[in-house]
Amino acid sequence: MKAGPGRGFPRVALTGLLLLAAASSEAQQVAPQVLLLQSVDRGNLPVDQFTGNFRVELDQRLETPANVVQVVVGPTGLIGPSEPAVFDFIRSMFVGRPKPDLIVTVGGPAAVFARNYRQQLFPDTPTLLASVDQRYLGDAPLGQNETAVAAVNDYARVIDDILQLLPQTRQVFVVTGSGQIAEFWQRELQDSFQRFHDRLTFVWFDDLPFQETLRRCASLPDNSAIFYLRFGTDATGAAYADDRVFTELHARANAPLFAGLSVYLGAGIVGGSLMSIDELARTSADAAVRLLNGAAPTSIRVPPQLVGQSVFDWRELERWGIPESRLPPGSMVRYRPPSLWQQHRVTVLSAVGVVAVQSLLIVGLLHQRRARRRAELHSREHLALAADASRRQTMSALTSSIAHELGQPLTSMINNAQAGRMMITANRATPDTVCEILSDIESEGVQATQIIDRHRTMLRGHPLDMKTIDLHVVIHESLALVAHDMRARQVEATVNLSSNPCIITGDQVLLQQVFVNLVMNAMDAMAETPPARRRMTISTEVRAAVAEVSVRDAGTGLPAQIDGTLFTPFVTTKAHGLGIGLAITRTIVDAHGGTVDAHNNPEGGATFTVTLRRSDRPVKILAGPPSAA
Amino acid sequence: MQHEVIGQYLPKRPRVLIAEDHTGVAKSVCRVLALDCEVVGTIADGSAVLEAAQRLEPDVIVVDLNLPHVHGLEVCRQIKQVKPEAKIIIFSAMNEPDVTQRSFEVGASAFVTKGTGDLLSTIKRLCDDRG
Repeated sequence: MKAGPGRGFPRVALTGLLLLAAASSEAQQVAPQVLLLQSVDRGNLPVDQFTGNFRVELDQRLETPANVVQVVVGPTGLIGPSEPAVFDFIRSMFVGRPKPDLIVTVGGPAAVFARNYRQQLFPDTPTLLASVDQRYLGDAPLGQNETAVAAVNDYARVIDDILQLLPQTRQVFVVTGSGQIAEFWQRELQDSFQRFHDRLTFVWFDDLPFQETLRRCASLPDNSAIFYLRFGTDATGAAYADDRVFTELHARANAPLFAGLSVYLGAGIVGGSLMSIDELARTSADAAVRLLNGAAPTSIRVPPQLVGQSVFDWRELERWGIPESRLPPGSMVRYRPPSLWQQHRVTVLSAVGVVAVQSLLIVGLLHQRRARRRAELHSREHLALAADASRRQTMSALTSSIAHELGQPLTSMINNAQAGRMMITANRATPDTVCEILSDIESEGVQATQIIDRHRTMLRGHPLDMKTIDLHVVIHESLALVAHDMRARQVEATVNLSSNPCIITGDQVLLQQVFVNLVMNAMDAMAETPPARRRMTISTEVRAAVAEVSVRDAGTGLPAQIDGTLFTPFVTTKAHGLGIGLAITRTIVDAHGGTVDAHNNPEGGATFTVTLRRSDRPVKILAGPPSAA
Repeated sequence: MQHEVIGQYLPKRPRVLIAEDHTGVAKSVCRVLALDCEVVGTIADGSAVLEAAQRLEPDVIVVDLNLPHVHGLEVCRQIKQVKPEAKIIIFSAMNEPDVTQRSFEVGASAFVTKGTGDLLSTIKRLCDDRG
C-alpha cells in the first residue's frame, strides 16, 4: 500500500496491509484492529523476525485473527523532519474508520515516535512498546496507556565473549551502518565499552560506504574481531538489507564476526550471549493479547528481557580455530554436522546389526573350533593311551620271542668270549684271531642294542607324532619285531614291496603297531594251519594318491559271526584275546586319514589292507633304515 | 653253511654237526668247539640237517629249535628215526620245561640253553658216555 497522494514522504513506506476492508461487517466488528509501527523498513533481520513471529504468536492467541496495519516510521524516525509526515499519514489512514484497539511499536525508534505522537493520534489507545532496548525508554516513565516489553541488550558482554573465545584480540571493528541510529548506538556503546580500553582498540565503521566497509573487513590486522551491531544505510545513504550485508561480510572478512542478537546466529557470527528475538516476540504477543482483552496497560509490567544462554555456531568455531573448551560453561553449540549416527542411523544400525551377527557367528565358530580342537586333542590323547595299552599287550605277547631274539646275539657274545679265553689259555690265540673275535662281539652287542631299542620304542608311551616317513621302513621294522615269533610259529613270510617310493605323513611307532597287529593277527589265524602251509605275504602297492599295504594269510579266514564288527573293540574269536588289537588298528589308521579293510581270500585265509594317503610334501625320511633282525 | 675249522687239538675229537640258522651264533659255537671238537659242518636250514647228518657221520648234532622250514624238534625226530644212535643236543634260548620235555621225547640226548657256556662240556660228556 502506498502513501496517500500528495503526502510527499517517499521514505515512509506503508508495508502493512489494511486487511479485510471490504470484508463482511460481521467480521469487521469482531476482528481487533492493531496498528504496528516498525522502526525500520523490511530488510532488518531483528525487526523482520520479530514482526513475523509476533503476528503468528498473536493470531495463535486470539480467537479471531487481528487486522494488523504495519507502518514503518523510517530510519530517520527519531527526530528527523519526516516524523510529522508519518504522523499525518497515520492519522489520514484512520479518518472515518474505527481507531486501532492497540498500538504496537517494534524497536527503539518506533517507540520514541509513538511516545511523541500517541497523544495526538490515539490518546485512548493502549500502546505496547515491544522489543525496545531499555536505552530508548530513557528516564521517561511509562504512561497510563503504555506498557513495554523491553530488552537489555548487553553489548559489553559480547566484547567479554570475544575476549574469552579469542583472548589475543587487540582490535574490535564495530559495524553500525550510518545515520541517526548508528550515532545513537555509538554514543551508547562507547560508554559501556570504556572498561575494555586498556586491552582493546575499538574502530567504528560508521562513516564508510558499504563496499569500503567490506574492503577493510577483508584486510583487518591480526588479532581482530568484528562486532556487527546493525547496518541499515551506509555513509552514502544507501540502504542495505541485513541478509546481503551479512552474506558479503561473512564471505570477505578475515576476522570472526560477533553480534548480540539471536537472529544473526547461523548467518555468520561466532555466537555468544545473545538476545532472543523469538522470546521477545512471544512475550510481546502475550502482553498484546492481554491488552486487547481489556487489561489496563499499567497492570502489565514485564521485566526487561536479558540476554539468554550462550549459543555458538560450530562452523564458525571451526573456521576460526576456537576450541570448545573456551566456551562459557553451559553453552550450546549449534550447526554441528550430524554425526555418522544421526546421518545414517538406519544404515549404521543395520551395519552394527550385521557386524554383531557376524561377531556372534565368529565367536560361535571360534568356540566350536576350540571345542573341536579340544575334542581332537582329547581324542588324540585317548588314541595314544589306547594305542599304548594295546601295544604293551602286544609286546607282552612277544616277551618270550624278545628274550629268544635277544638271546641270539648274547649267546654269540658269550661263546665268542669263551672261545677267546680258551684260545688264550691254550696259547693258541693270535692277534688276528683275537681281533676278529672282539669285532664279532662288538657287532653282536650292536645287534642286541638294536633289538632292545626296537622293543623299548614300542613299549614306551607315545603321543601322536606325525612326520614324513617311508612306509617300507615301517614295514621292515614291524617284521623285525615279530621275526622270531614268526619263526617260532613256523610261519614263512614273503615280503613283496613296491619298487616305488612309499612316502606318507604318519606316526612311525603307531603304524608299526598297526602292521605288527596285522602280522600277529595273521599268525594267530594260521595257528591251526599245517606248518608247511603257514604262508604269509606282506605286499605294498603304490598308487597315484594312496599306498596300500596288504597282509595276506592262509589261515581260517574271517568268521561270518563277526562280519561287520571285525574292528569293534572287544570283539574276538580268540580264547585269550581282548579284541582290541584290530580296533586300535582301525583307530590309528583313521587318525592317519586312511582306511583298513579285510576280506576272505578265494583260496582260503584272509587279507587285510591298509590304505594311506601318500604325502605330497618333500621327501625327508625321518625314520632310520631297516635294521638287521 | 660251512665255517672255518679253527683248530684240531685232540686226536680223538668228537665230530660235531651244527644246525643253527643264526650266523653269529653258529660262528661263535664253531670257535668254542674248535679246540676240542671237529666241526664237520654247520647247517642253517632245517630241511637239510637230516641229509647232512647221514652224509657227514657226526658224533654229536647240535640242533637249534627255530630252524627255518623244519622245526628243530622235527629235525631231531627225523634223525633219530634214521640214526637212532645219533647224539643230538637241542640248543635253544627257550628253556621252558615243556620245551625241554618235548626235546627228550623226540630223542634228544641233551638240552643246552644258549648263553650258558655249557655246550662244550655237554658234548664232551656225551662223547665220554659213548666211549
